[in-house]
Amino acid sequence: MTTTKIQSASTVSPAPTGTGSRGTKVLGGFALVFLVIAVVYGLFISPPDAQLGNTIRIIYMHVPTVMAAYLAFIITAVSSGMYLWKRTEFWDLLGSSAAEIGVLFFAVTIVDGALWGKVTWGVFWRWEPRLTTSAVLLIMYIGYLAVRAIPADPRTRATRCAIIGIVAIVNVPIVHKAVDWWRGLHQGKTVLGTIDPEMGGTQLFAMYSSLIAGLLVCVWLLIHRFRAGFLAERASDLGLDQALEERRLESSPATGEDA
Amino acid sequence: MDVDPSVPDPSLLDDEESPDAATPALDVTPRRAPSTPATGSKNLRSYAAVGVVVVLIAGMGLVLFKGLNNAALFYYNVDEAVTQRPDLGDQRFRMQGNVVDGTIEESDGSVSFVIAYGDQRLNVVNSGAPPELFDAKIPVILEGQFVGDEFHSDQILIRHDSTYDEKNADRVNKAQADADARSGVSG
Amino acid sequence: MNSSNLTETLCIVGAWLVTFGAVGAYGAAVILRGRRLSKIVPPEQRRWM
Repeated sequence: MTTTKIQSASTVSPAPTGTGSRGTKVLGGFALVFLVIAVVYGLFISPPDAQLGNTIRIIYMHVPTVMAAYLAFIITAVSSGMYLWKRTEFWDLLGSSAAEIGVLFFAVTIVDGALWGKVTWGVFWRWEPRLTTSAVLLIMYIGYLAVRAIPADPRTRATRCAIIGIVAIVNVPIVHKAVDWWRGLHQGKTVLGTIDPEMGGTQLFAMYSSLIAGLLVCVWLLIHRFRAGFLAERASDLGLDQALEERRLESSPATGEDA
Repeated sequence: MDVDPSVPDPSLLDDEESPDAATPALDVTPRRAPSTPATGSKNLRSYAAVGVVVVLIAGMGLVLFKGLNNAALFYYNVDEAVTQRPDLGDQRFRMQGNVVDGTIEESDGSVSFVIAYGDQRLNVVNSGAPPELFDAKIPVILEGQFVGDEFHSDQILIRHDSTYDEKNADRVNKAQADADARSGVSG
Repeated sequence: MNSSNLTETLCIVGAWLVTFGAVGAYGAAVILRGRRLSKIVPPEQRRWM
């Protein structure tokens, strides 16, 4: 009885062949629209800054990526808390997926910032408060991913990661407020300090469209990454044979006759 | 059926006829992808992962040490540096101030100017060309030390604030106004 | 002047390329991994929630 039910359900909507769905396509479409606006305004329409010249254009990458990273780390922290409460695979996967995406965006933020620093400050890096606390934050979340890579019973692994995911979130407000708390080289907060950043109109438009694009891309990536992680768990449930088969397919796609 | 224990189960061996038989062996070393099942030596992967964590903790310790050493007092303002002149001696430190208008003199491989903050001014000689955005009336952080009555620096860092504007030439004066306002407070 | 303008352009273009490159490469890797895994996971288990 139940089998017929499942079968009829699967004929209604066939099993997906990837991590995409209607939802991610719509979300991805919106992200793409904002990305195009961000590129057009950020690189072409918005004028150079009075003081920073064209280097202002790096801010349209630097700020959205860091906000996306913060969003991801907050999702990791909330998911970590939820995991310790509910103990379900969903929260574990969501938290770890978000952590990975947060590390990606934050590393990009630091690279963008170093490039910006080179042309505005004159140096790529100084051990000043904002940069130092950022380095600590990045290392801590790489630590989260490293701990996750230690082979362990899934529940043990999830618990370890959840604890790190909760502890590491304290870095976010520290990094964000570092420019207020200590003397440094980095300029003050651009967004989240006030509702209306001190920018010209077109600059502000370029900034907000790239910010929205960044956050949409972050959520879009998170959904895909979560589903890939979910599939990976099912694949590992299937056992070593299938894993080897996957490996075989991966290393030599031409011989994947069983695919 | 009789099974000769010295002969391995043929199903465990690579099929010589298979297309990938020519390649040496299936590479089963663990990959970087985190959540795929461990197909290689589980112990080796364990040690490697624990090693990475240890390196990261050590790295974080180093960053904290470097950071706390520097970040706690990333720079002195000119007035503070002048007041603490006897203690600073010839040691290297960072000093912040505003470049005084009309004092910049560029020569071969060096630039000299006057820097001011609060109620103090100081002559600066910087070896090497200044960065592109270097100009009068902007806040800078200099890296160097006292030599006699002058400050000798070898790196000029340009400070920026988080105000951006499309076209407002007067805005560059804001840095000076800020400094004047702050020097009144910090005295 | 020319060399500093070049540095400026390189840094601006570099920052945009690094961002789009890294995020794009990661996204592509995740999607391809999802497709590959979908081939070996039975259809009835390919439901996310």
